[in-house]
Amino acid sequence: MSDMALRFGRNDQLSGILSTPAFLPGNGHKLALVMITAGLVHKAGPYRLHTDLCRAAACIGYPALRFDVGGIGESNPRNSTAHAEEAAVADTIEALDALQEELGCRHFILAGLCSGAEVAHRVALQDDRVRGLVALDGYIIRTFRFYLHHYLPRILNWRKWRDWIRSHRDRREDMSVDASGELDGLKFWEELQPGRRTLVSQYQALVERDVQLLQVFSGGSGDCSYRQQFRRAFSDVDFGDRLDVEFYPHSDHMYILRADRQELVRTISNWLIEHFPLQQRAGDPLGRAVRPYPIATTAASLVRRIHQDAGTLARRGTE
Amino acid sequence: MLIESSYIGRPGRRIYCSYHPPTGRLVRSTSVLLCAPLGHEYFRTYRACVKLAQSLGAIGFPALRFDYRGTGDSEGDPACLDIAALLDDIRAAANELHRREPETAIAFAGMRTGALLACRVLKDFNCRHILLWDPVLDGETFVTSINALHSGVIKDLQRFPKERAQAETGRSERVGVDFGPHLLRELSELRIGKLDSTLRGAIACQATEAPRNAPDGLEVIPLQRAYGWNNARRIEEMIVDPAATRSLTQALAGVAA
Repeated sequence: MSDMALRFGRNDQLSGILSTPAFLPGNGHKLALVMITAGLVHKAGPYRLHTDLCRAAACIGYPALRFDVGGIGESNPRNSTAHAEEAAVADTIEALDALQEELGCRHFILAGLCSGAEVAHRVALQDDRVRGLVALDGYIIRTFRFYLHHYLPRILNWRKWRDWIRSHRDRREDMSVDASGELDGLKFWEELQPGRRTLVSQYQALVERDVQLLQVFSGGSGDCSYRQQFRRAFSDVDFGDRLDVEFYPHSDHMYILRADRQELVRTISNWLIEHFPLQQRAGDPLGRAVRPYPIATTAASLVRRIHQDAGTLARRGTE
Repeated sequence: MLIESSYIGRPGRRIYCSYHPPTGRLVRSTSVLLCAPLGHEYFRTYRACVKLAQSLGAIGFPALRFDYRGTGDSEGDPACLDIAALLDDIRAAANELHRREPETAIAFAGMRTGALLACRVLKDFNCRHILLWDPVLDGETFVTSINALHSGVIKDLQRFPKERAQAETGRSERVGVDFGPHLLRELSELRIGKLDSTLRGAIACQATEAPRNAPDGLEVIPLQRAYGWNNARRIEEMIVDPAATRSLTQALAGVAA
């Protein structure tokens, strides 16, 4: 497994890191994982979640790209008047285009946390190349039972009241501190939440396209409070065997604890292996993918965009 | 201008670097190496460091940011980190900046524990200019506060449905980041101490936390807002402080060619 820094997109405005497997499947890299950032968090992800997940995917044979959407991290902002979420969708599609052009990938699995999951969902609807979707605390509808599971324990727990009071006190103190307006562009994320009927038709469309779905919710999501909630909320969608749901009631929304992140990475890795098996070399007792990764071949095609070790970097004034 | 990112160093422990070329006609004879904080503060300050590098580049200072091994997008196991490894990474990044900009003198900019570490290598590069952004002056104070913060985070019922036990987190894990078995102890032994009296630049800090005996050449810039480093509710809040970015940039422009 090896990480490579690269720039891609129109005018090379986007920055990403491609984790490449040590071995190349017999049919080449037809499938890649793409991690989409959320909010202002850069491509390493919260507490390095994206880095860990992409490297884990590459270690089991899937190329994995994590990248900064426009205006985040090392990516330049997209020059358009589109909403930030629409721009993120466009950036993600450019990421798929780049992987298709450079690695020959024809299919993709998109993954994201929170607003990253929402962008992944929107791209999956628009782009037939998306074969899998991993949504971490993505879209879900609150059911009646949600309220029972969510509020009843809180009402009965004095520590919850204590922390709720403290959080509101702290929020009042913090609201006055940032007048720069730099973060105003993120406010629209909340405005574009689809309603249940829209989501039902969208999930139905994904199922009809045979897109495999992994919906993961944390106890800290704020919108999911029990394992069966997603299926109940969308009970009128015939997911068949295209849906897997995981619920980690003990985890927070950001998977701040290392053990929680490791469990999540294992879940996603196992899901990839189960639903997107790599072509295996016949007779290999370990079922490994075939032949070593041809670094020279791929490096040759990527070298004009990849900023690697000394010697390939463009010098200022000589471009 | 595009930020140029790359990996440098030996396989298995390469560090991820991002070079910010100057974006205007002016090109100065000082370049700046930015040293990020450790732990969860790395995530809170990433955007601020990018903005500072961009601000410096806009007035002609080439700049380089990097991730220490085992952090961010760099390779390596965080459990193996110690002060020596972190300082090696700073030196490697500084050498990379020197390779890219051989005609420039290197200035260091450090935020929080990044400032604490940067001050350990200034003499290695004959550094004459520094920018310290809300620096951790005393490692022991920092370690004590992050221990308390971690205990508060795992008990925060606004974050977790149920309190998490200390045993569910790694022995050296603090607020989502593994510091390894040695780093916390070694950090607690570090101090910024007395800085070289010939250094010039700026320190941006809370008015009550200005270092004593700071060299006369270091402008003290009072921060207009509190960043809440010890507040468990703000551990994921991005630092957004354009005023501090501007002040630090202008301070360096006033003293460095």
